[in-house]
Amino acid sequence: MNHASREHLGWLLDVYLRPDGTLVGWLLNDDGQHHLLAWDFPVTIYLEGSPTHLRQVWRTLTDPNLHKARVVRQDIYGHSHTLLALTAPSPGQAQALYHHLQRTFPHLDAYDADLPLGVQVMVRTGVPLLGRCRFRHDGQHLLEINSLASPWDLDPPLPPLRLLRLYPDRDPTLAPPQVLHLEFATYHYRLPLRPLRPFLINLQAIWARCDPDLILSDHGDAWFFPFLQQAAPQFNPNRDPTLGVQFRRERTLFAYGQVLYRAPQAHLCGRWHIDRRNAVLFSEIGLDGVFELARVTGLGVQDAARKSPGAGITALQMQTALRERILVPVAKPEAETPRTLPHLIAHDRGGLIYQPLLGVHTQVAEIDFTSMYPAIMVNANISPETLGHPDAPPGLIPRTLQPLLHKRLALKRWLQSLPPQDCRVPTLRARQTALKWLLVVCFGYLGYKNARFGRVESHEAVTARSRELLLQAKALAEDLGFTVLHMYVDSLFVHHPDAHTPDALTPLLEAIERQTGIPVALEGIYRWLVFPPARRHPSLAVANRYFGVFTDGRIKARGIALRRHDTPPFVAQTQAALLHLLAQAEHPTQRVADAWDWVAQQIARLQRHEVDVADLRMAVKLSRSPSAYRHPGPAAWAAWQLEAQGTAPRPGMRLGFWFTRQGIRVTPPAPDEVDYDRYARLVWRAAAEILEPLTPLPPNRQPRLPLLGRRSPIQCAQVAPSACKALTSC
Amino acid sequence: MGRTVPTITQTLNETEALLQRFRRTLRRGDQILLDDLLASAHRHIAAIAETQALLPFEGALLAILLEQARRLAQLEQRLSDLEQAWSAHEPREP
Amino acid sequence: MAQPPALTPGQLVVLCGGTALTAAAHRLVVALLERGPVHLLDAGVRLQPYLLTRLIRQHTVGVADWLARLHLQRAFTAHQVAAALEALPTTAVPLVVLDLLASFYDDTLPLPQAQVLLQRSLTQCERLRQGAPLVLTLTPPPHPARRPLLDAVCRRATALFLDPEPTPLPTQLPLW
Repeated sequence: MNHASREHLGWLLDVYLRPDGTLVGWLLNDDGQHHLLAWDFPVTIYLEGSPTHLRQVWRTLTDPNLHKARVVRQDIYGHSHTLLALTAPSPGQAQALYHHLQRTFPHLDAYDADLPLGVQVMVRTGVPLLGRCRFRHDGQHLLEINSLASPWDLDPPLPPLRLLRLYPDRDPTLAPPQVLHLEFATYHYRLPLRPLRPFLINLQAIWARCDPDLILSDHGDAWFFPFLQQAAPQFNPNRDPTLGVQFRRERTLFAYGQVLYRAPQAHLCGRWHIDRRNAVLFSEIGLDGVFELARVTGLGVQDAARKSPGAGITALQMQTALRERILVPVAKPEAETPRTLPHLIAHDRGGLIYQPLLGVHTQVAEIDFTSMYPAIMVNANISPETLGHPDAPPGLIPRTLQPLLHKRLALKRWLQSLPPQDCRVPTLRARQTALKWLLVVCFGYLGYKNARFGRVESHEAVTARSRELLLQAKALAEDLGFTVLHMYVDSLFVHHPDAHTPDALTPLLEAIERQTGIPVALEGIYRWLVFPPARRHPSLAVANRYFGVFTDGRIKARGIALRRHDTPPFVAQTQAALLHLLAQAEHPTQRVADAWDWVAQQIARLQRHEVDVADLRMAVKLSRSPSAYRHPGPAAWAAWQLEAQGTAPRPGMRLGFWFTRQGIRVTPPAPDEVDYDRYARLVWRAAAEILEPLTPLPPNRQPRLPLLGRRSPIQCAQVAPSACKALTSC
Repeated sequence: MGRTVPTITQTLNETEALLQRFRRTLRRGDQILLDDLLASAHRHIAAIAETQALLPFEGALLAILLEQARRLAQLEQRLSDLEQAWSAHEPREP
Repeated sequence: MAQPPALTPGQLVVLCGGTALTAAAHRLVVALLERGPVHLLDAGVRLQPYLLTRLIRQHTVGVADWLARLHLQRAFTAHQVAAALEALPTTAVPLVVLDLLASFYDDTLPLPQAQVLLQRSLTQCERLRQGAPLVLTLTPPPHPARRPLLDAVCRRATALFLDPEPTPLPTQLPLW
């Protein structure tokens, strides 16, 4: 060993690029020392095109540090491609080269040109991000690194991290913050933002004292770090002094009929910054889930927190491809195989949806297939290159999913073996939920147009298999005397008069698992379950819309107001409280009268202005640019108001507003300005959604509107749906 | 990528929209009966989809007939139950 | 468009308009199917399968026979459009491309790349129309930056129809 080098045990936390393109490894050793080490890491990209264009590229690139070669490599289908391989000394230089060539030679197809850094490092070294390793360095450069961990470890040791919480005293989109709160260990600092100089002095002092590894903020991406950049450009919050904060601009995307908005981002180097308001699944998976995603996918922690699970599953597929020397295209060129229209109609279908039986049901078992679609992809070997080849070896997609499925199942089983109060439960739940989301999106990415390894025929093969398996499960249930009340893609709701306990369901579960080859789990047995009618026609129920209580007291609801993002908190709380009230009874009709009384009380609270204005806030997605609305609704009005205030709302953003007597308001109104009749109708409608299917309230017991003034009955539940919609429209 | 063929639900809704002029001309009572008939097709969306028909309305008509057959069977059962109950309480001749 | 244009090999017919174009395009496909096989490339998720079958049903009870003449392909990205056109052999079978430019207007596809891919696609269109008539439908770009793509296609047209007349009402209840 070189006497100038030192060896440590520790963790590889992250990798990033310096301005000169050098890869930097951020490592933490067991003594608590952080190391930001330059990493010698050449990267090769591949180009394909006409010989003329490739020769032009060859002649154009004269950098002596760039290695050029003609190579033959294979794609996912095993087809050979003759390529120009360009090896740059660092990943940053390879990236810059690719962007330059994309602009100057747009005719060329590129491969392995946009792989995430963490993915490349994981594949080349075997060290996962946040993984234990042994590393050797000379103080500046990483000389050697060896993995002591696997991304599939069930119980990996986590590095000790210094966490700083950071949040303003108010929402910056509504009003300029006055105070910045910082929480570190047991300390809570409250810094007034003005005057600026003392604020900055205090901030820098706290920053230096805490030396955080992770900053968990509210509004850090869109407000705090841009504000800091402007107010104190000389203050570098990074641990790496050679780099400033890495800002990424906001984006609006249109995908699958939805407008998606990605807020601006502020990434740190040598530290992490996660903005809870801008992290896709954070509320569900927290830091434990984000770390799990980073460990498994190779996406850095800051990207894993912000990017959709689709980016994670793409990273996993890239890992498999890179490991097996399969080319990763930047753009997938293959078109669909030509077909006939009857073939298209027969195959272009989704999962099986079996209309629910309307009404109140007791003793209903909910049976769920565990990760059905990924399991189908693995069991049936569905991958772009295996279609039409029944004897093909496992394809890239199944090879990618197999360990992910295995780990998720293992975590789930571990979780189920622990008592609910075990301190490990929240972490395990978060980790397995994070993996669940990867599995949930992997099917969608099989059919996603921009997916590197997507192919619509394989997407169709999965749904065809899923429909068949669900029909098999239905037949098995009926053979055992169950009535099938509802089926939805990967779950069944069944009833048998003698099936009171989980043990009674075991023969059915085992039969389904045996026949389909996919694990199933009993979500629970409902004491009672209601499939309410559709607004459009009272004799029809709606798929995946129900509410009920399990025998263990858990309440589950889908497709009703409290599950929708645009329902104000007060309305959602009212509906949730109704469910809790009904859940106390053996049969929901036993508490209906009490429930209607509770609704009346809630409406009376509105009448008395006793409801916190914050709980009346609506949140609606802006689906297009405000100027593009032909028939403006609340979202458009809210957007125009924000524009007038100097905020520029983007399509895909979720806008908050209130209904007031003067119309839509984007800032919190005074209590006496609120349009309480509007909210009363929303409460009534949410209540009717739950209670009307049980026992309609006689007209003489219905609350009357307006709440303050001339009285006429609320007719929301009794009128035609179109009129009901008019009551709640702007 | 993914689905481009409309769902059966969407297709039936489109068909119902095309029938609006027919519906409008009916008496109110008949309009309600027509709505019930069309709604009954929605109870068997999955089965209609499984037919993979080029013209899904054929499957919808079969679903409507199925619902009519079910109602008929339920009515016959009720009638039978009522007749049995009546004959059990019928006064005997002296 | 009450009657389909007389289509002969060498023709590149371009129909440019809004959503009203869809019904016209479907009626055109049906008119072509009456005469023989048709290649259909749906480049913008414009194909309405059940509308097509209902329109065919207005002509014949043998819907399946007519549909057997239709060779269908979907393309969801500009790369896929170019690849699909490159893979088509030069034959006498008419080709209809629905909403050719839809994916070329995608903001995530840089304009230079879109132009290169369009050039490749149009080169293939030139090849294909030597053997059979070609009909392209287009929708206008969502913003002016992509206008050159529309102009590039329109310049190649041997017949250009803009904003077709409104779809006439169906002559019978179109349930089948």
